[in-house]
Amino acid sequence: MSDEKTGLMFRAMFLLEDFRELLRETAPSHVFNGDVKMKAERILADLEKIIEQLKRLI
Amino acid sequence: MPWDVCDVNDIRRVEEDYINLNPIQRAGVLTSAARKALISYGDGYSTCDLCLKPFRLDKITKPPIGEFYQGLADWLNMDVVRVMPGARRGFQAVALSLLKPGDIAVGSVLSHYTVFLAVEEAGASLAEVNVDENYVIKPEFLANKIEEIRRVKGRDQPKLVILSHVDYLFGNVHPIEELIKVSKEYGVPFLYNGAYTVGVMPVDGKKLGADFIVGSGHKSMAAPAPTGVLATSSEWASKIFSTTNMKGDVSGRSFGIKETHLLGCTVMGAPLLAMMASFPYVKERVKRWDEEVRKAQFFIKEFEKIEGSRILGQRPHLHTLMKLDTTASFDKIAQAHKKKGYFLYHELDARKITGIFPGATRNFKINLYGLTWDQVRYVADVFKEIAVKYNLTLSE
Repeated sequence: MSDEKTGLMFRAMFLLEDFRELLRETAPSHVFNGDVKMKAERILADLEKIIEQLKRLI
Repeated sequence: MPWDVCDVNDIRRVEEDYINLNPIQRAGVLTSAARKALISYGDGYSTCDLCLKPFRLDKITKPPIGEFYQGLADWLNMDVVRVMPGARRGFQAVALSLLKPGDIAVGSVLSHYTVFLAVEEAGASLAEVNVDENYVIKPEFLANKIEEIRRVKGRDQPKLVILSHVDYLFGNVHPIEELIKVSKEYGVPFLYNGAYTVGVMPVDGKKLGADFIVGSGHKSMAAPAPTGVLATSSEWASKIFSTTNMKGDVSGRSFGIKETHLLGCTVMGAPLLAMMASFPYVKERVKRWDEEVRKAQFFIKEFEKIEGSRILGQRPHLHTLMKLDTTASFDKIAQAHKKKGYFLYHELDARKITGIFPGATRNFKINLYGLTWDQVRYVADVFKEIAVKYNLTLSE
């Protein structure tokens, strides 16, 4: 199961990098509207799912 | 521990929280793909898991480094490419290959200091071509310089011309095709310095006729430092990327096909993999160069509405890197301000804009590359807002 944990860990870190990209694109206001808001919501939803899976594996 | 670079309260967050105008940083800002590669490949010799015979970086297929090298060569329309630890190492490899002590190479009054150092290390000297009133290198200036060198040093000199397509001081776009043509007419090899072009605008080596192309990964290819590229034609490849003939006199060891000027393998690990990860995005973004120039020209138009403010160099300005002259505007304010020249830096910082040299108010460089239209408009508005705050007049 360790491989699965590793894969999930990388997916979570990469999702956070995608979120970081949104911060960069919207600097300095960091106001998330329209497409950016949708992207941010999708990232956070995916992240939540991964964290839930990780919780079940530990 | 005396320091903690990962202290979240003190970690670098310039690209997240600010608009960064730093002239040397904008086009080196990483893509998210590059940052993911950094996470995955940060461990030491991570690229060398499957380094098999003949044991050289460009022969590794997993990750596909060899394929990336070939992709870079095709993209630049050159025959052979190596990733180098910065553009400066590209200058160095070419200078050490082509120049001997006493030789002359030609640069310009706008050459980067590392060009001087590379030539100096080879024991040669650098002659500078001058610029016109707009700080542009004219082809006839290069021809005159070569003639002058030949009169003094003989007809086998100079041995190399190294000129930038876009210089780092003004962001001027020099007539590089004509400059290369002049160099060719005299039979002098030409090194095209693309530190501010390769990775942001289209560069076609064969069309230009350049013998060598040097680019900067951390300046213009959305890659971490230290990265750069050195590309050449098949004609020059065996000289520049010559392989070792050395044999240990006691051990009898030899070192296969390691390239001497590159000291074997060059950039590896996380910087190389991050550069590879950004490459597909870089190939796409150069196609949008005209849009980047339009944003720069929009900013200039707005900025020059501030009384006493202008850009230096050629007009229309054709690059996102630019030098602003505010001697007759913000510098006048600085004279009477309690923070002196630092006032502008602090005013910008308060509005989450950074990257100008702290204390500079006479002239300073900025780069707008990769900013969104909203961000460019914001930067222009902030400069005007600060001007109004200090009673400078805005024209319509």
